Amino acid sequence: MLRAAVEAGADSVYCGLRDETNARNFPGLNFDRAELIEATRWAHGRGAKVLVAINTFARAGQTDLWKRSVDTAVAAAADAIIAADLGVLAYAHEAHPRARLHLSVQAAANSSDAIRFYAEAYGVKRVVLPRVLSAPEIAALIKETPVEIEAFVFGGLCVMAEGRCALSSYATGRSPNLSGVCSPPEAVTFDRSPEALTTRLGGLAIDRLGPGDSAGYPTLCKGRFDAFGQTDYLFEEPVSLNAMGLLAALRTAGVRAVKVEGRQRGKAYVARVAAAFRAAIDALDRGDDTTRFERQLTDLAEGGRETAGAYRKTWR
Amino acid sequence: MSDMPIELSLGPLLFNWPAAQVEAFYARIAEAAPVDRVYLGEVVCGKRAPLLADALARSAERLGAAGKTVVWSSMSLPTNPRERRAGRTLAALDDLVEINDISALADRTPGAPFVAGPLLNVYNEGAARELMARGCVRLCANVELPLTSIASLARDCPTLELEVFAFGRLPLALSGRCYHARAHGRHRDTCQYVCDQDPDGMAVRTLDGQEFLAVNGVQTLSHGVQIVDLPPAVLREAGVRALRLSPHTCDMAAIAFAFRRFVDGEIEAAELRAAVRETGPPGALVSGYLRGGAGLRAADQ
Amino acid sequence: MRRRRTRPYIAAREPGADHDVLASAMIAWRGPVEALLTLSLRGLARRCPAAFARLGDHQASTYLLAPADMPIAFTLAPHPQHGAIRVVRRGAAGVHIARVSAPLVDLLALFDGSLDADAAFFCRSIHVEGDVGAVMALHNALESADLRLVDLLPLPAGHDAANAILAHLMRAARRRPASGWV
Repeated sequence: MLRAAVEAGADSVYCGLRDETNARNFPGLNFDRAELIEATRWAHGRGAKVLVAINTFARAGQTDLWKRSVDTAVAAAADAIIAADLGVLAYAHEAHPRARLHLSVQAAANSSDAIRFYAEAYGVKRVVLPRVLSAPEIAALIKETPVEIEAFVFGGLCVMAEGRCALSSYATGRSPNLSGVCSPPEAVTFDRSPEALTTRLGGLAIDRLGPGDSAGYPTLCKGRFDAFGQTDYLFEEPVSLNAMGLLAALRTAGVRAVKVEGRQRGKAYVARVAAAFRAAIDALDRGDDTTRFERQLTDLAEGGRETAGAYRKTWR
Repeated sequence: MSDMPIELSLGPLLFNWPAAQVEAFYARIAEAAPVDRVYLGEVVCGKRAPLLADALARSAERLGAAGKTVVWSSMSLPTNPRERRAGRTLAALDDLVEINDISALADRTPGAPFVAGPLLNVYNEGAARELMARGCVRLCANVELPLTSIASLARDCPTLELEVFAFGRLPLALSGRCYHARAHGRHRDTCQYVCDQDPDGMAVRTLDGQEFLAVNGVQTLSHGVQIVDLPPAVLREAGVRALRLSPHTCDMAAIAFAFRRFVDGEIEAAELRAAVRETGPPGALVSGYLRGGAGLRAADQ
Repeated sequence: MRRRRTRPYIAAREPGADHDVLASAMIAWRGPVEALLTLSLRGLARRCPAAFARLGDHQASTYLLAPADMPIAFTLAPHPQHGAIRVVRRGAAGVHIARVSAPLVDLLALFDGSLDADAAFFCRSIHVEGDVGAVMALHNALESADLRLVDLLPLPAGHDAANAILAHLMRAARRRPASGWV
């Protein structure tokens, strides 16, 4: 998958170790130590960077696992460690002062004040913004901060501020912050009847689809609920983020890197999305129009639908 | 230290109540509720804050005169310039304040004492020590944390006062989007303060009709009402120094009384639950998180 | 979506009485097919041990893969040494950790990574019943292995031409109306 991304034109690739230290702790995914070393060597040979996500919150009394992951990433010559937990950041900063640190979206640093704190306290060099800010707000924020800013442009859309959401653990006992997973697969079931497919999480019916309806991820924020006398997608419909139409605006705002979500998805997805964004960014660099790239990826979207999310203010 | 009485705190009001109701509520707390500490301030939505400023200022005086410790709480997701200005003003205070977003630390004088609120992500002793080095004297544990983690924090940071979210709908999520406005077919910027229609949050049911969540503007809470009913000895053993009661429209003075008697060993857990149910809380009683399970697990099971 | 004029033979058959005859025939001839598929699976386990290691406890699980357009299904036991693939009647009883159902071309494309599993799920061409975590583990393990079609099907190994022809056939087969198959 890392290879697919680099070959399709990604400048950097995020990866994680195969344990709960990263926020994609799904079965069968991620690298062990030897694989990480090998992948980093391969990527460096291609001029690409490897960023290691150690972006969950360490469990009390067991913080050594997170510290060892930081050591492993440094030993593997990773180009940066991306973290959210104050304890992990502090350890990385003290134990490996020369390691480059990025702030994960899970830290939900959504203002220049928060960013300043992380930069001054831990020497953070780059911050991935939570998906709660509009494009003009991002532009204003970048003017106030010396730290590089990275923004999500494609893929799954957390409608809650990342790292500030416990919906998953309320229903299942596991969540991104506690265990590196949202809607853990072992808690998901699909009940199929001739009339409908009912999605359940921890036994709770969170969506019911007729034969022709598109599906979304079985997450609570994309579920259908009864509230205020209506049965509807209360938080957000099953849609994915696609901000390709805002690439030019984000670049003008000073965004240094754009990020595609999809570490738990397949090579087919990674290759197509990375190639489309590479082509769009190169087109921007030439001063060309990017419109023709914008509709290329719709079939990969949740529910087959896309949104620019919070980047457009009316989303709120 | 283990036989020190467990303190009771009243958390910040999370809902949009009219100013007069807010003032009357805190007047009753000042007069009749056996709580040691009261957190004040709008932590959910900056649009509500100006409507409450005067009522909260007067309430602070009244609560202080009644012998309660008053602690101002910061916004949980300050985004726009007005919210951030409010955060900086609060951070500049020399008094003890509660911080609910890391941004407040950027402007806090290093070493000035503060409480780390439950909406901060402190999941381990390393993170707690980072905050203590900057002045954190008390931590209200994130609601997801099991008691084993809280005990581990207490062992590693013995001087840190640990508070636990003990009563009320659990604050589960924050968003840039206002779900009250969305349910009413509006945007956040033109919300007309529709969240005031649901003083305990807007009930959310699953497709099978099961009560599940509650919406409070940009915040999502549990429908179930958290109750910490573990024996006081177990709580003390884990290092818990205070229980936080989160304001709802039910009789909070009566709830504070029940908890006071419970932590003093005068009533059992079943009696605490019965006393709390007597006040008509907005949802079923839940307590799964502290036991390391799903938060919605019923308190009696 | 482009419409194909002719459909592959099996897909042209609607489920019904003909299916029972077809199923009986396929079951009767399953021996050599099972042997070839099992051999292929074990060969894969030797070549890509890391992919099987990713399965963890699910090495001992049995999956049911049910092509939506065929009267039979396959059971897959992805054990690195004792792995096996069996042909069973659609709907036959058995203990499976999960059942994955999709048109055959999509199932094959999912296995070699040329079709995005989540996208297939969003458009409802794939159905999962049972332990969703087990299915994710299998999918992620396969994704990690950089498989091609010839690695999965019992064809002479290393024939790029065979792979190219297969890939072409797969692409052609996938250009079909979305309805009528599932």
